[in-house]
Amino acid sequence: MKLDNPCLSAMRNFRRLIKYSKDENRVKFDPILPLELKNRVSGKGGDSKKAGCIQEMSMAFSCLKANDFVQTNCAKEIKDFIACADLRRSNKYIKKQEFHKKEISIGDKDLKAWEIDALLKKYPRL
Amino acid sequence: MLIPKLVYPQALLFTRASIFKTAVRSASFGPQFIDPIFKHEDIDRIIANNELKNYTDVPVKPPTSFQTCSTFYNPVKEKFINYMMKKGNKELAREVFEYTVKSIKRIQIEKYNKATSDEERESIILDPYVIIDKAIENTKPILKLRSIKRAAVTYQVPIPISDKEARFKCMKWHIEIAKDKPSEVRFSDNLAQILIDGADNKGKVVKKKTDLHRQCEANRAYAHYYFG
Repeated sequence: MKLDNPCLSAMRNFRRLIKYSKDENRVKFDPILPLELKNRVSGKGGDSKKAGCIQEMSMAFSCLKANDFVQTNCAKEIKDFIACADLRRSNKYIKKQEFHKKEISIGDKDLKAWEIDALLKKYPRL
Repeated sequence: MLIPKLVYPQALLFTRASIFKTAVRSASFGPQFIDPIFKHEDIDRIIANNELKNYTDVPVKPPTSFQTCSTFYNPVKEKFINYMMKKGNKELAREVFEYTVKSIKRIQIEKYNKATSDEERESIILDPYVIIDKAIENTKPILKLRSIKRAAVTYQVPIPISDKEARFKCMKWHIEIAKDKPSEVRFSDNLAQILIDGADNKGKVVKKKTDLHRQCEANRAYAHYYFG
C-alpha cells in the first residue's frame, strides 16, 4: 500500500532548484497542489501485482526438459505447480469477494486500501 | 469416470458484483440455486447419510436436456458431443460419436482376437469410454500461451491453465486433428484411431501437447509479465 503525496514532485523540483541555482535564498517554493494529504489512498502495489508460481513453473520446466517432455517422470513437480496455480486462483476469488462485501476487519494491523478509504471517509482528516 | 469437482466452483461464474449482493453475468439462476441431483447413486447417498433435511427449502436448478439418470449417462461423452457439434445439429454429432465408440470397440476386439498370449490379451482395454478418459488424461496440457503487450512489444507468456480449460483444449485438438484426413477415410474412424493412440501416450495429439510445452519452456523468461 502506498500513500499518495501530491507535494512530492514539487518538493523534488524545489530541491533541484536549490542545488543548481547561484543564490539559494532567492529560490521560491511553488506548491503545485495544496500541501496536505488527501482523504484517500491509492491501491497500487502489493502482492497481487507480482507474477505467481514462477518457482514451481521453473522446477516443472527443468524436470520436463531433463526427461524429454515426458510427463509421467515429473508427476510430483507438475502436481505442485497445478496446486499452486489453483490456490492462487481461489485466493484471488476470495479477495474479490471480500472487496465486494466491503467489510472492515477489526484488529488487523495490515489494512487494505479500501478499508483505509472507508475509515477515512468515516473519520476524515481535519 | 466423472469430471472432478473444482474447489472454487463459483469462481469462474462471478465477474461483477454490487455492494450488497453478488451478481452473475449471463446466468439466469442466482447463487442461492444448487445444482440438480439427478443420479440415483447421489440420492441414495444423501438418504443414507440423513442429509435430506439440508435440501428441504433450497431452490434447485432444472437439469439440462442431456442430464439423465440413465446408466449410459457420461458427462465426458456429452461434452465431447457438444464440442463436435456444428450449427446446433446435435443429432448428427451424437451419431458420429456413437460411430466412433463402435469403431474403437471393433479395433480393440480385433486386437484381442489376434493376440497370441494371455498377457497380451490382459493389457488390451476393451471399454471405449475408459480409452476416451485415458486419452483425455494423457493429452491435457498444464500451461497455455497468452499474448501480453509490454512496452509496445507483444510477448507469448506461459501461464497456468485450469482443469476445465485443459479438458476443453485437448478435446478440441482431438477434433481438429481428426478432421485433417484424406476424403476416403471417415471422421469417426480417424477419431477412434487417434483416441486409441492417445490412450497409449503416443500419436499426433500428444505431440501437439509436447510442442506447446516446448514453446512454453522456450518463453519461460517472460513468465513474470503475467500478474495473475
